[in-house]
Amino acid sequence: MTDNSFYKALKKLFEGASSQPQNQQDSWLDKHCTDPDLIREVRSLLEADRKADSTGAGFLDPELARQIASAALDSEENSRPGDVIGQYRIIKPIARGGMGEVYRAERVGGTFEQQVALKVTRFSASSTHGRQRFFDEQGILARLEHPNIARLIDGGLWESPDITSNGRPYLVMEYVDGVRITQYCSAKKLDLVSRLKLFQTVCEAVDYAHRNLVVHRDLKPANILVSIEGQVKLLDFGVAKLLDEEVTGLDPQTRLMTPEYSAPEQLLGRTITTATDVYSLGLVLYELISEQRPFDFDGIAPAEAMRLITEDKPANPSSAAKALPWARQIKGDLDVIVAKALNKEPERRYTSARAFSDDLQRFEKGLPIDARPDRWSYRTGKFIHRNRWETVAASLAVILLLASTIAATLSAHRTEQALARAQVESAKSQQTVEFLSNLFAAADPRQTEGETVSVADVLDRGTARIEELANQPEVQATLLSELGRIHTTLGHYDQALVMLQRAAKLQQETLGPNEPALADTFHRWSIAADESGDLDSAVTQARAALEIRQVSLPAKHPDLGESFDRMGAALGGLGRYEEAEPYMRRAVQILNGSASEKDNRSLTAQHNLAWLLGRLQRFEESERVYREVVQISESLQGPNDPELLVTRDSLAVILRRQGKLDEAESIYRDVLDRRIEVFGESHSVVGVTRHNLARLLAERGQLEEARDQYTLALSNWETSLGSEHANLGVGYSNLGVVQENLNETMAAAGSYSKSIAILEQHRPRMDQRLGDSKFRLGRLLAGRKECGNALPFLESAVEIREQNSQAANALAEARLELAGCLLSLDRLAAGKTALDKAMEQFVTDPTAHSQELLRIRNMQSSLASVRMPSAD
Amino acid sequence: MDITRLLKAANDGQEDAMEQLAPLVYDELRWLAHRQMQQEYGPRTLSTTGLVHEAYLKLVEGEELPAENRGHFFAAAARAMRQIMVSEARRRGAEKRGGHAVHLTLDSSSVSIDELSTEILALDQALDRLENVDGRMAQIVECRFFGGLTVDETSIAVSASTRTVKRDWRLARAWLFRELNSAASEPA
Repeated sequence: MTDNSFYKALKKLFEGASSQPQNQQDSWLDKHCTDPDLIREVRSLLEADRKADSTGAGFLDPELARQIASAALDSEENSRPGDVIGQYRIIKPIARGGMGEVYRAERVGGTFEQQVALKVTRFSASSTHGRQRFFDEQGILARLEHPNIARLIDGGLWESPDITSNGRPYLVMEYVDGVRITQYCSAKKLDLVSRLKLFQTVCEAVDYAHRNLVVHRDLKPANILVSIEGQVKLLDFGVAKLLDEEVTGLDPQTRLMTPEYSAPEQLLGRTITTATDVYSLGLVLYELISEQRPFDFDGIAPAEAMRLITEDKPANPSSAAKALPWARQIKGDLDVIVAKALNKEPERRYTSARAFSDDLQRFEKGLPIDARPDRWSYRTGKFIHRNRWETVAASLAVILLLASTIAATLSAHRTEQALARAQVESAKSQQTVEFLSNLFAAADPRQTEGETVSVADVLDRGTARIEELANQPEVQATLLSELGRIHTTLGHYDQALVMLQRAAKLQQETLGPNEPALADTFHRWSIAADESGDLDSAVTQARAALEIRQVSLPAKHPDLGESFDRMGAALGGLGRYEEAEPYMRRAVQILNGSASEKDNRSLTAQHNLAWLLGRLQRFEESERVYREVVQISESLQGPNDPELLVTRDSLAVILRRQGKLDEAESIYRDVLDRRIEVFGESHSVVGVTRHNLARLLAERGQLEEARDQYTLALSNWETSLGSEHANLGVGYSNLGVVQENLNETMAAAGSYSKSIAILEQHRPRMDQRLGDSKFRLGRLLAGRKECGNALPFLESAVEIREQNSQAANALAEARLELAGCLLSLDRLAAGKTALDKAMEQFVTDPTAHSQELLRIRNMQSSLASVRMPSAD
Repeated sequence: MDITRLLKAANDGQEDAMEQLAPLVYDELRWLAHRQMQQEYGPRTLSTTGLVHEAYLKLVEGEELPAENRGHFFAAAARAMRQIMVSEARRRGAEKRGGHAVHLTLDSSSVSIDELSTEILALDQALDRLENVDGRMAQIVECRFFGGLTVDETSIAVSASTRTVKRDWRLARAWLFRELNSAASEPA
């Protein structure tokens, strides 16, 4: 360093002297300074100052810098071409993003032309550790060899000569000449099937990488290119990780330049897994099938974008795709598939890219898909305020976990006490949930999410814990039974049934035959069986529970009432209404006397009784009971109570049966709105209301809206209940009737066939509704002169209706159709018998339509004309 | 972007913050500069001061920052512009050409770009020597000449009064002119 005071003085003197006219500068200097060295220096600088100004337009004019910079940069058309990085010479820039720049480059001294994509990051690998990580990760990526993944060829740290840095990581990758997958699809106007095929290729490539333990972390259309030959190539696999904070020393937030394609866990700074890629794939699929992005980030603040991604459910792709020809095709299943991939909770998405792709394949083949509409996409914290059902389930789940933790340390006896205590605590459910979930979070080292533990998480971990309790079968059975119940509430019937069955077996082995706990399990099993559509099993389990409770509980115990109710409901489900009634009456009697007003089991039993009365055609009685339930329930729970909505829906059915159509319709529409609000569009109860509304509309002659509501109801059930659920059997049959009335005959035949196929799996062979579907299909086929095909359906319909006494008129109707068919097929004797029997009913029935009598006459006369020649 | 945090850290006197800042600003400027030059229409002259401001807006993403933080950015940007011009000059192999009198005036725009490149390298080296004499003067040259900053902006960047900036600028310019022309013929 030069002497400080020397320059201080020099500056002063220079400033003073330079402000003087030139001819007075020397004398000014002599006056103000005595140091000859200093004076000489200032004089020299003053001379330089003069010369600098005199040389034309000024020395160091900033304008000059601009011109030099411009000339330098302009002389080559692109940046850095000619620069050599590693063994590669840059040809031209391709892109620039948050991470750095990408260039097209070629290998120096390569014997043949090999073009590569060269990515130079803008960050330096700051530490030794970072460098090591960079090379480790690079080694892993270099091993990925897949036709649809752009290969990582080389990489290194570039000591840029320009700036002092510790070496900027660069990567050399296979150069792909292609366009974004989204652009490719719209430019080529690909149809839905081709788009799905292309997307499945992407899934396969992602799955390959996942199996090699590489997560992409930044999948988006810009990283999924399609070449001119139509080949898909995924770019930048694992590059995000390769350049993460451990390598570059940068805060991960720094890199979040495009939230559009970030998964919630990325924004929340949580663990990134293969599920993160599944989410991104979901976004890509969404865009491919709807040509829209699920979230609109235009002009919104980052905080709002964050909220959208972490909390908001995007519109279904089918509604985003309204303008596209396949909007209807993707409604339902494909909506559900995308929603599953886009679940906010990673563990509720598809377990792998392959599972995702497989479900798409099922969709393409028209098979039932795996995904179910999600009712649980939010975290418990939110749900506690939204819906008491879920709250109860969540609190129970957490109690279970606490119980199982205790169980691991205490003796079985003391565990039971602890469990009992925990159940008492459940009354304070919300506090309990928070307290216990924190407790559990603390106990689990893998748990990093604390307050945001999801119900699914809790259940999964609870299940895992149960397996650790094999040496305490009693506790294990209790937990299995509880967990089975919760799974039933959540609609996971398969899991529920497995658990309940196991619980019952364990309890039978350890407790003996008449234990209340075993009865509880049978009771829950019956509910699970009922809801899953296994009606016979529902009756069997209900009876088993009732038998135990009858011998082990006092005559007025509410649990006994509950069991009578369950038994009545199960029998009713099988259509054994008369048998069911005494059970139901007994249930209401016990529960009205014993349960508090707020115990909804009492209301449930009354509701079920009203339903049964309706089935027995005793509409006025039924209506009265329903209205009672509605009134009490509304005053206790408010207008959006899910169970109140069930009762109002059922009340509307009874009103419809009595011809009170206006009131029925207004109830349906109101219930529909509330259910969508409370449960969301894809819940099965929304399907129920749509179905019932459709039936009413059909009756009122509003056929097109009826057809549309039926269709919505059916697609709802297919996804919410699975394509084999008994509800679908009834719904398809009803849809068929409307379609026939709209002259959509082929569609109607298809609907009936589906109905029959489904009902045959569920209902007893002689079920009335199965008979209806067979009759309707038979009649339709006969009308199309396909009597050979119609015959088996009509024969079976007649047989079923013969067994159902209340369908006398319907029986005659079926016989008449059968007769017509038999006669057309020249089976004259059998035809005549059927005809005579039909005649018998119709002439005695004052309500028979003249049209039918006319048909009978016509058939009789044609029969006669056939006979006459044969009599010759 | 991390840059606002880096600027704040720089303001708190963290040396390494400035070091981390430089490459970010450098890249941004470089990119913007190339983009400006690649535009098909419009003037073929770079607006360095425009670039610096554009880079600033882009990097802080519209965030309102205190003047002193902005000053750190200006300083970093001017340094970056110097590096960009020097590296372009180096890439042209300007180092290999022999020294001659350095004019570095607007008149010299008639001189070839290769010659100007040589002059830029000479200036760069002289500036390094000036830095040893008086760091602030060197920084002011960086800001005024390479960064195209105004006196006011420069005063924010170097945390000095405008009067000091004006005085030091004039002195530095004289110093550099003498440095480049007296010993011009000998490579530094």
